[in-house]
Amino acid sequence: MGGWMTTELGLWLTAAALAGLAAVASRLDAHRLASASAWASLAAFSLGSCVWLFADTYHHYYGQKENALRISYWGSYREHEMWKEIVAAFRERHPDIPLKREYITDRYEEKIQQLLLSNDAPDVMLFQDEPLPRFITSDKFQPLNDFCRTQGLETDLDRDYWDTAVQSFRQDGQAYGIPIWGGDCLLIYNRDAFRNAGVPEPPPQWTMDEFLTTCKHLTADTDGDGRLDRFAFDIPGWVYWLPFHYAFGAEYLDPTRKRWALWGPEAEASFQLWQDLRYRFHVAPHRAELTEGGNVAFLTGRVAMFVSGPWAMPPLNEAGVDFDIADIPSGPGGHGTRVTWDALVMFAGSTKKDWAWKFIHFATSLPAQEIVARYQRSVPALKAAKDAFIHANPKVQAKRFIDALVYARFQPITEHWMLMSREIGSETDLMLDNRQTPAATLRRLARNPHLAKCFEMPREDMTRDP
Amino acid sequence: MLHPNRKRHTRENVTGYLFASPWLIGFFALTLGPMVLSLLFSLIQWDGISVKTIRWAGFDNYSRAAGDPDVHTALVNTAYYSFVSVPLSLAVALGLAMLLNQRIRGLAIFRTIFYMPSVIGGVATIMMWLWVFNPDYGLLNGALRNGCNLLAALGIDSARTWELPKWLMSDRWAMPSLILMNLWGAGASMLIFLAALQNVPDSLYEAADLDGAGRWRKFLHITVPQISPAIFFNLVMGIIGSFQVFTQSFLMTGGGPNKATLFYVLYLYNKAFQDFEIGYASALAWILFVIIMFFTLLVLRSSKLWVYYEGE
Repeated sequence: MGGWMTTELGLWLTAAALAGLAAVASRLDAHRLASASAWASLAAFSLGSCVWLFADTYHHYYGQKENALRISYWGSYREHEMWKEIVAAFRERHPDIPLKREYITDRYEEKIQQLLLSNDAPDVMLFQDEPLPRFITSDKFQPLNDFCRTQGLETDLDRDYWDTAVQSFRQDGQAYGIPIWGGDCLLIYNRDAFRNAGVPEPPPQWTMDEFLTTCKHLTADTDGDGRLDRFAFDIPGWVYWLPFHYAFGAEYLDPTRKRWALWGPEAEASFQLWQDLRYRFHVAPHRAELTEGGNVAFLTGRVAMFVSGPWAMPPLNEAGVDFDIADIPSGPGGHGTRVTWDALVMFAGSTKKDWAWKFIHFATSLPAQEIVARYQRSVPALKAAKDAFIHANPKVQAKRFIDALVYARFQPITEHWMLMSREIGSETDLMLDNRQTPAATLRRLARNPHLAKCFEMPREDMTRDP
Repeated sequence: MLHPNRKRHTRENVTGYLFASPWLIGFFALTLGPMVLSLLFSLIQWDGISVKTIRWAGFDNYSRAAGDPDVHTALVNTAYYSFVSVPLSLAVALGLAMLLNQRIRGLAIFRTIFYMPSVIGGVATIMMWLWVFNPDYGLLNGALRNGCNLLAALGIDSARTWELPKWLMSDRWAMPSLILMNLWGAGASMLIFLAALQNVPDSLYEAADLDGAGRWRKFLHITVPQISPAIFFNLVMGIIGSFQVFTQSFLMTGGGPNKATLFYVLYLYNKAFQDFEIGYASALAWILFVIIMFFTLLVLRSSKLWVYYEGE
């Protein structure tokens, strides 16, 4: 690029010099010279601007291609540090492969979308399970079954990785991503809040009734001013409510992912508890009672429990909070939780697929997965790294995240995930503001015109207002 | 053979175009080109990722918009915002300009203070207003709470139990909050009004004084007609800007609560970059273009009736 820069600069300087000459000449009344200089200045300026505008494009298509393997990811600064370690370990093993990290800090999928459209996507991309189906239809992600059989770099997904992780990135028998990490959602509780309230910590395998009793004991007006100062639970959004939803035996889509299943008595019971925690029992703060945000409230002990995955642990460790992990209470549907995974996918237009596979294979193998385990960012997708994850932070029962993977539900994700998420979020917001009943919320969702275009909805006579 | 005058004209025209060429190139390549492209996109279905997924849709995207309840919600929200915030911010800007047009000590400092918010970047302002609107700890409710306590101390006991607005967290108050916040940026319009006010000849006011006109009459019959070009300019720019309102709801409310701040451009953005419906989003953009054009033309046509240009 240095050559191009010099050309642009040269042309602009020429333009400036000629413009200066034109100005001087016009003062001397030398019309022809002034006019010629002005024209030449304009031409040089235009040419300089064109070079500046199109240099990157020209360089991309006709110039010498950049020869490094490009890897993109998102995440916090700590995750960025983790990636640096993984890449450094890879470089040690493959010093012949030049590698470039692309850390995209915000609006990851939108930026990847633009890069895919311009066929300039990174060779390897970290990708979430939720937006994946929408991207697979574009044929821009490389199917990986054949790569899994590469001699010397074999990957046995079904044997070595958590089942839900593999299923999240497999479509029609074809793997589109090799899972790298993820996690299930459990209850994270502030031990100081429990101690201050004199409430015993949650037992393993507790029930919904025990959870409710604990919540009532935790919630208190500690200074007697008539306002509650400590709440038991931070009401989550709909995705993080799913563990409770599953514990009630409810669903939102059927296993075919085509029929709407957020309907029926189980779903209503789940939504009823969700609303009751805030309004009937008032063990969770109203929206205006928790304006500092759930995270801050948990750090200060104002909220004792919230639902999250292992990714909540690193910031809590850094903040020095005394916390631990508890199961989601079991309900009529038994134990439930939701699990979500991230994977490394390969750009179908990559010209360095062999290198890309070498990196994917390394990042999802034991040495790199142990780095992931040490950072506690998520549960490593490789089962063999589970012990490293459990022992990385002996102060908390991280093992519960591993144990829960046995009954954790794979999310029925479709290409309509974002739309569905917005519509459910909008209706449940009304319910969580006590502006409509759980039954009305379910009914309105079942009659939602946007969702009806994507899924088979319950019959109209079932969703009439009572 | 060309007449020498015509030749000179042609040369002048070519020279003019050549000098305008940097702007012309930019306009055609970066504005008109994408506009034409988006018009074509509005006739297809496309996920915006791969050209393989392009399907011809004709006018389906437009007919779908007509029946989309969220488009109606977004249009009503945007119209509510426009029709309240534009006149209100014009009134505030004009009021400020008139105050700052007085001969008082420290005028330059006051002018700087009132113009300063317009210089501060949008996102920084938004982060500040998020705190101001915080129902628990925000500046606004803090002041209201103190006011209630004062009333209670004066004997109105019920003032202690009055429920304070939840601002951005309530669908009743979210839109008024954004309109209120918009007044923060009235400094730019204020500056234009101030320049216009300073161009009103003193002789007109002196003549009115001799005729015994009061302040209100002078304002209505001298000031307003004299600064009507500035009002016209601010009105047109305000309408265009308010129909394109996006950042506030994108960063502060995400269109909620209960879609109370779902503005048209936010919905368009959601469709393009969350649901990957580039065709539909392009159709929505063209519908917005027509709406803005309609209101702009309406104001332009009406300007003959109320905008006074001195040279005419």
